[in-house]
Amino acid sequence: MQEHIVKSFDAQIDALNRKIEETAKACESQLSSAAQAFEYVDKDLAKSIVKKDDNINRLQREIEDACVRLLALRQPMAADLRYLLSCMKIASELERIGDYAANISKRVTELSETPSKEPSDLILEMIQLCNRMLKNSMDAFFNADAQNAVKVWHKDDEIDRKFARMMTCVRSQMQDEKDLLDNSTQLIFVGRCCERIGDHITNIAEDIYFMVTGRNYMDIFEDQ
Amino acid sequence: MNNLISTAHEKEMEGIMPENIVAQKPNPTLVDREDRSTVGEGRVENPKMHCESVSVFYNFGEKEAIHNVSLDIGENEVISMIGPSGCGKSTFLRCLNRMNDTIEGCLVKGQILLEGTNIYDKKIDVVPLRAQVGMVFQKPNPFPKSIYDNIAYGPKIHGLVESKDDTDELVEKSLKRAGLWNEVKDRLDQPGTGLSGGQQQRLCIARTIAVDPEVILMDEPCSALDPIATAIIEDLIDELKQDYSIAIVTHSMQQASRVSQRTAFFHLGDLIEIGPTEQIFLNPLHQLTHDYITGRFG
Repeated sequence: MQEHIVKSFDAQIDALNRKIEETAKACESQLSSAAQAFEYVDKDLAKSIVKKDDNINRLQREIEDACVRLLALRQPMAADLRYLLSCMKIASELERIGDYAANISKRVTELSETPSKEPSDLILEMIQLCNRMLKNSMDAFFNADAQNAVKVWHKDDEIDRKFARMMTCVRSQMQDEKDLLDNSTQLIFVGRCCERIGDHITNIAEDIYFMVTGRNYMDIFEDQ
Repeated sequence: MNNLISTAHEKEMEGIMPENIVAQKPNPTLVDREDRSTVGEGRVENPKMHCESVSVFYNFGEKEAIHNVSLDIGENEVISMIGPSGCGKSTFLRCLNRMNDTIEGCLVKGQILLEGTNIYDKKIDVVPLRAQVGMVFQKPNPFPKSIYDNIAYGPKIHGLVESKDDTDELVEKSLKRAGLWNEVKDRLDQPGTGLSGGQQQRLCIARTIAVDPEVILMDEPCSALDPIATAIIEDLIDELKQDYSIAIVTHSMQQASRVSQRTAFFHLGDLIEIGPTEQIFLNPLHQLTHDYITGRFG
């Protein structure tokens, strides 16, 4: 793609891209750590994840500031305008994903014992899937690849199915083993966080689709 | 979905690692730079002016300034023409009231109809035509006469007024429509050239509307004005579109996006893209339009 005549604009876009990449990587790292903290009920690790969430919040504010500055000073049009609008929205989705990683960790600190295998495995699978989807969505963003963004979007169905299975599992566990009620409640919260992360990643995929094509993916999807 | 992303784009995407990407890519479905045929719909339902395959040559046919442009000017619309210097947008605008006739060796081919009448017909008198299709230029050019006479002159020679009262009324009405009346009503006998740049431009607009035109052509009407005077003219354009069709050539894309309903992008004499202003500036269809409006031209 041809560069801008004003080279400093390209440099600012480059810096913004790096900031988005840094935020996405921080989210991936927080999710991986949250999975680890959950798997081994590592409360110290969980506490450190909660602390690190501030970093993602700060990055999101920096991205938002940079976008507002570029919108005001460069008055971008067409693909540049769509790119900046998408960056703002994506940063906000990433910040929410960071919040959910921290929320999962807070729940880990409340767990009284290692959760039972089946729901626990499903939760770990959901976190791993979220992380893969997040990584793929970021690849789609940097490659301006609407097709792969759509693939990520549809992957969310898998998370929803795993969440439904996990809920069935926990429900029957709650009926059978009343003394596990507290732990089961924490599992529901953790599962719900994973399910919401999936939703935020689908939002990112929609933002990428709009950035590349100028169209709203939901309009296309509903027409099909 | 598969139709949206071309195979060529898929190939282009292969093997590209995110780390190598420094700037975002445009919509892969954009029409290729090399394709010079017009993208978008140049026709409107009720055209005030209808241009069919218009080509303009300078130097007795030696240089083709615009090539095969087909475009309608709709009723009560503002249409803006954008494009780099020398793209032919002003040449096209000047065709619409035969201003190019004044250039020696200029040749216009194709058809331009004003409400169904061919304006290049031999029987057409250009003097009333230029009243019907008025023009406002980049540099305000009031006559070296009083403010009053600047407005009254046109209606008098076109026989639109019969008495002094008629003229007074028309002068007041035109100056009011141009948003200048309150600023000049107490000094109508003073020279028009003594007004500020923005006021002079509004005086020229008042002069144009005094002869009851159908279409107003504006060739970069605000490029010599400060932002406040520009905003006043833009507000005026918005008002005037209720009664007239307006075609405006501008170098300011922000101005085009603010004032017009449709935008035409010209490049090297070709009409590359025409469409709703919103679409042109948010999601253009042609690569050249995209590269121009995002400052990537080269």
